[in-house]
Amino acid sequence: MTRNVFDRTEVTRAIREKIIALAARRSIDACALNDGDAIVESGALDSVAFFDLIMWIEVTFDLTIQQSDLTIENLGTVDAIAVYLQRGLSTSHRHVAS
Amino acid sequence: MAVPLYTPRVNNNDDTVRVLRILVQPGEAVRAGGAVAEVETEKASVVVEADHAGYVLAVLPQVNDVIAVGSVLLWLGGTPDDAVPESVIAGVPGMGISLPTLKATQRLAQYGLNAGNVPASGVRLTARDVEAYVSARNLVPIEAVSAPAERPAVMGVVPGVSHALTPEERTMLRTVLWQRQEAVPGYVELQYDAAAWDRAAAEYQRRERLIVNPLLALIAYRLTRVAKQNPRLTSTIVGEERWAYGAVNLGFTVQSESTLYLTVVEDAGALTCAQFIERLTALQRKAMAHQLRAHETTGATIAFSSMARWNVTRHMPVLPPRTALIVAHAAPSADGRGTLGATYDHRVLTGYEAFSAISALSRHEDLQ
Repeated sequence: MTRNVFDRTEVTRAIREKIIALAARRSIDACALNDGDAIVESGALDSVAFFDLIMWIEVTFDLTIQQSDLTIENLGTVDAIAVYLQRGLSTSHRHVAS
Repeated sequence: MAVPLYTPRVNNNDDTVRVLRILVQPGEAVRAGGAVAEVETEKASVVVEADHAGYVLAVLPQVNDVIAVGSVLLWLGGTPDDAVPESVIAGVPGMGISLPTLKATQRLAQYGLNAGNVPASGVRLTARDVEAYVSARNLVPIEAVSAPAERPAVMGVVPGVSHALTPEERTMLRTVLWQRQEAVPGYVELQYDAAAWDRAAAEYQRRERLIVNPLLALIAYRLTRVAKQNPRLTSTIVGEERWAYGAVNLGFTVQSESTLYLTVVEDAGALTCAQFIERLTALQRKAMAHQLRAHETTGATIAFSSMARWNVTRHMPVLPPRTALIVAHAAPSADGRGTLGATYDHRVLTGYEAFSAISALSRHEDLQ
């Protein structure tokens, strides 16, 4: 199912849940991660888990994240990812999949 | 419905073209007249345009492939889910993949390849094309691998099912058999200050604003510097000669679900640290998505493997075919001390040379 409205609350919730699930695979409890917390410094995800998160974002939101976009500014927090997605999706006119 | 886009003729006298660039990828929508690829002959290069709008279903050649004029360059569909005829993917003569000669067919079988893997230098794929391809990538014949094995008696007693190996499993089988049959492996290791490396990586990550921890990439990059200083590390034995490779192609293991890939950063010795990390990151992403191309997993001249992610504190990796050194990185202990190991081919390197390499690797230098 797709819709053409970017629901920020739902997107941040989905991202947060994905991070928690990826962290859980490494036996790390990331439930306390807030949307503004630095994901890198939280230790929730190692590099491979980050690649999993990036792949999930690409598939879920139907976009391609360029290598040059793999920065703290774009993907450093749940909030930053949501902003990055909103910007990218509005630019590409793609829809947010749910 | 899938519709082919054919390779255009560039010059009257040239029956083949070389693929310079592929500008689209499967799943991508293209408009009529949109650029999809760039091809060249010795006399000219041209941009190939889609003759109608659609979705790219499959791109048959790779960059640098020499393909026949009139062969299928790519397939377009009305939807991204249109099916490409199976026979095309498998490789049909005249449909984007050059028809191999009889000798080429024999060579392909010898190395477990198909015609689609190997670029042809002319209209037909020749044995010489295959030999050049396998030589450049250090591929090993698979006769020993595929020789029919005697079935153990237990198979007649305990019911079971036989499974054909996947291409990745066959690659791994070739790798371990090469080490058993040709290399003379040794192993050395040392303790080092892993915490210092962690700090250096964290500093690099902060400075470059990277989202992914670059620790392993930085150690692997450092290995390329060490290999440049000592070309013996990127050598192998052929007959009674030592073959020194002209490039540092860094093999880097990536575990994606149950598949272990050896991704290869080509000519890594010529890259800056930032370029190396970017290339390796891109390969890791493709490995995680199982989207690596053949040339991205072949031709390693030295390698690096880490099992730190699983808190493995020591492992002895198997040498990729025709390499002399693979470095083993493991999880550090609680006191910040780590273990760096190296499996090496004793026909090429002494234990001291392997030790010297990982000793140099234990110091975080040359990271600019």
